[in-house]
Amino acid sequence: MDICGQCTKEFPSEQAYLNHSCITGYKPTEIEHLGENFVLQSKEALKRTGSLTKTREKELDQTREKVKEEGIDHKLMLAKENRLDEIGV
Amino acid sequence: MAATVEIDEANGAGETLTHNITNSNMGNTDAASLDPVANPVTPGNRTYIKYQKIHVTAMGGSSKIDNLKIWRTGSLGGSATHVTNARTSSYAGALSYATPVTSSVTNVDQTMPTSAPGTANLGIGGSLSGSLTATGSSDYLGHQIVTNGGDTAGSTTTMNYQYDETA
Repeated sequence: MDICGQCTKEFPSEQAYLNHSCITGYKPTEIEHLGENFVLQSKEALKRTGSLTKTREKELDQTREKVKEEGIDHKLMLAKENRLDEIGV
Repeated sequence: MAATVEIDEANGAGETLTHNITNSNMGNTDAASLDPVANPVTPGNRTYIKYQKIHVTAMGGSSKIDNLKIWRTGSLGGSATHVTNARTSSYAGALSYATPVTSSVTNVDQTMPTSAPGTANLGIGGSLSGSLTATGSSDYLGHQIVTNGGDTAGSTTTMNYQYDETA
């Protein structure tokens, strides 16, 4: 069995987990789902191999702004503190 | 864009996998995101071992994920130690999952680093030089806190999980 650590829903398979739309409004395969800190970590991971091109950096910066505007980190914080009922989840 | 990466934890006899865990609380029960206040370890005992892995859920246009490094920052309470299978040399291959226990586990006997290791210390496909070129997971990271009789409750430290990404 597979469980989502954010919304705590249970799934019969990994693929079903990967396909679900979580409390963030995104699927686990979408970078927005992981919040602002993850975007920053991605930049560092790419930088370590010399792979952070200007294009990628711009894309990641845009994603970071989008994540901030959509309050994704707030939703992730509520999930971490088991307070999802505050946003009707 | 970039790869999408999460930390997963396996529990129970059936290897139930909790994806994208929000913490690595250690204690006297086998569960992801356990409540350490409700499940404290009696000084002198071990916590349940944690089986965790780095899971790439999407490559995001990148070609490779590798060089996995695991370490802990912050001090443990009293004279407790933190043991793991993660190591930079003489890696014993992929750690096999077994129902988590509070006893010692074969090959989970290295001291958890307290700063970033110089080279990879967790393998992919059983090798420290392994890599992921498509979605998939690392080897299991096993780790466990070994307490002593005089230890006190309540220490908080941070686990660090690092990977390199190649476009």
